[in-house]
Amino acid sequence: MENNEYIKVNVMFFGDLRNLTGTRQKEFIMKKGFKLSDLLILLEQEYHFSFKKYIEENKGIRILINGQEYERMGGINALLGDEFTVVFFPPLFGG
Amino acid sequence: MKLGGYKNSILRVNLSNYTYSIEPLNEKMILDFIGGRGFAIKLLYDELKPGIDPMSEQNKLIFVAGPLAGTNAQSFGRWKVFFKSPLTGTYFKSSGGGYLAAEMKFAGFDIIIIEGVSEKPVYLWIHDGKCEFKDATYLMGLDCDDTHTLIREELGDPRIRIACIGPAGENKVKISGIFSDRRAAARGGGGAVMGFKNLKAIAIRGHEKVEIADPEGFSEAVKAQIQMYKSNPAFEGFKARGTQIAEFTNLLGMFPTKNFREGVIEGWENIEGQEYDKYRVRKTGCHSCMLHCGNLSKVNYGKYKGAWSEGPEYESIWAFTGTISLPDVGLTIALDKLCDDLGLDTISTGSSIGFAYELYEKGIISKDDTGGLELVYGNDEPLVKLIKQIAYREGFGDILADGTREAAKKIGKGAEKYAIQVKGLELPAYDPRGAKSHGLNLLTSNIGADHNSGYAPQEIFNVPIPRPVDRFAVEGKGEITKFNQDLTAFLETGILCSFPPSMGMINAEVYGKLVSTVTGIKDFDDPEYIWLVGERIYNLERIFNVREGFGKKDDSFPSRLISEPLPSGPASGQIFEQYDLLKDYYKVRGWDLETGVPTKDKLKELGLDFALEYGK
Repeated sequence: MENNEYIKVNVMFFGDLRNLTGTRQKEFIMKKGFKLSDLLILLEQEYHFSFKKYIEENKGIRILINGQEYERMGGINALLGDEFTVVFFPPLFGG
Repeated sequence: MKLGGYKNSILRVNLSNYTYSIEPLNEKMILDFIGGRGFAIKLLYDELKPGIDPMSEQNKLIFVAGPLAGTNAQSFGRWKVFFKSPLTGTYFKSSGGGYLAAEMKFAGFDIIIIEGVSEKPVYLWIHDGKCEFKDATYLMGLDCDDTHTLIREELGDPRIRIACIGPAGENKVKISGIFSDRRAAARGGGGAVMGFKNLKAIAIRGHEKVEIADPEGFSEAVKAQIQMYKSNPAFEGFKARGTQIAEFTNLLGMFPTKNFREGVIEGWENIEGQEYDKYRVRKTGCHSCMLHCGNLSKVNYGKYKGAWSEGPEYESIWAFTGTISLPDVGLTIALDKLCDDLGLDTISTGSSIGFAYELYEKGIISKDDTGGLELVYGNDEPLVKLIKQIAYREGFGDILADGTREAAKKIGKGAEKYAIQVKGLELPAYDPRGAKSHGLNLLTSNIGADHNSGYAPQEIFNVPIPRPVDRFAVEGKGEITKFNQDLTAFLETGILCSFPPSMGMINAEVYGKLVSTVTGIKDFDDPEYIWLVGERIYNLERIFNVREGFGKKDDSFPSRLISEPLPSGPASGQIFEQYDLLKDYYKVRGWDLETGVPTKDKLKELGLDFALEYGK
């Protein structure tokens, strides 16, 4: 993104959250310096339910930030950057 | 001692002289190895002389059902077949789902050992404690589905369970497997061994119950197991889709694409779980398992209209998408069924095709070599023909039929470095550069690159047992890999499916309760002992291979994985740090750092004194 004040973050939903939001993927423009916690508030405004509460109630839900577990990126205070991808998906398996 | 769980019977069949005998289980073997995979490695170690040719009369096929098969404990219905692999030259274990293991127990057997070679095509009819040798001439050339149908008709019972080979096994293709009701013990060339023995199938039927030593205790243990399943966050999701979820490794950047050159397939959205929902006819499952993770899929439109399959599961999805860079659901269903019918391992088949596509791109092979097939990325036209060629050992398929390591040797011109395999077994659908413990297991597994020997849920699913990990980190991965490998080994004494432990749905405590109450052996109700048995099994398998000449030199990835960083995606820049990871692993294992051989001290510690001469 050219504008230094804002960043573009791509958000993807899988599983139950895809059903709840009716969305597979959406881009969000937000202020530089925004954290994951700020994104959750944005998502709450967009989809009209509390993402923070959803995550607390649904153990095992994973949030990947650029492919890395959000716990390793600073948890709920993980800093987001331009062109980041944030993915929400339920615990699943493959073999 | 009076035991539950076990049938206390080994059926030993000699195909060379059409005789069989029945012998009891050895008490010491029961106590030291519990069952399943434990029994099999002890038998193979004792009965296979080192250095035998896997494609010779000396090789054996050992089918095993665990002590919990045939009971209502959950997910213990898997069967395993063990042999010396013609693909790798190692000890090999291959696993299938469905109903065969339960039927083996109902028929009265824990273990079926098949020795010798038949002069003419036969199948075994094993029923209620007896074994008959039946003429299989009319079955030769038939695919696996038809073989099941006709045997059931001949014997007049649709409930008979069968394990058979298809045309690929008959042609001794080294990437062929053994199939039972569309479930496959596919890897390692078990189909070729069975084909060499001129054994088309084994058919099993029985009516005995499996005795439970402590029925009340067992009932409580099963309740506890079910409770653990239901309270697991992955339970509902896994039941809904099984493993038709190719999106997750793409999101981690470790979905092997174009022969492990990339970690994300373009257009992966077209093969994600929600897409497979559109093709699902119904769920399918195995004996006594509430997960019902199988999927019957059907294509109703498009190029592959009419194709159907029980599957494809994750690996088979990858086998026909990432390998040729074409994300098409219909294609995966059609080719999964084709491989099942022909009796081929989809992982090795897909990987061999991907290998060939890269060679074609690089000009190492051309249309002259492929008989006119244009192996161009994104082109699915050659695939049906090429897969059939592999199964029937025709044309270029005959070169791929022995796996990529052998194919590369025959092709030459630098092809070797493009064979993505360890010890001859092609890597499955996980790029080691994206998850280092998962990769370390692929590197060190006793049967070659087998993801199920020590799957790393800590890295793939963020399961924090024994602790949370960073999938890219190198430090501490030896410990995690040993944990996963030993856990798998002890759970495979009961022959538990590998999916529940990978989601944290079972642990040593619950397993100990199940196996001690079904057998009546209180020693098994001790997690520390259970873990010891797991480590014992793992080390004996390693010693079997050491005896065959394997060592550190064979714990090695192709150069692509250790020196070429992934170029893009969420795991961009990652390589597999083989030297450091392997050193850490050997240290944690208590193996000699120079040779990768278990030390004598380690063998003594594990009660493997009989194998001391091979220790370091």
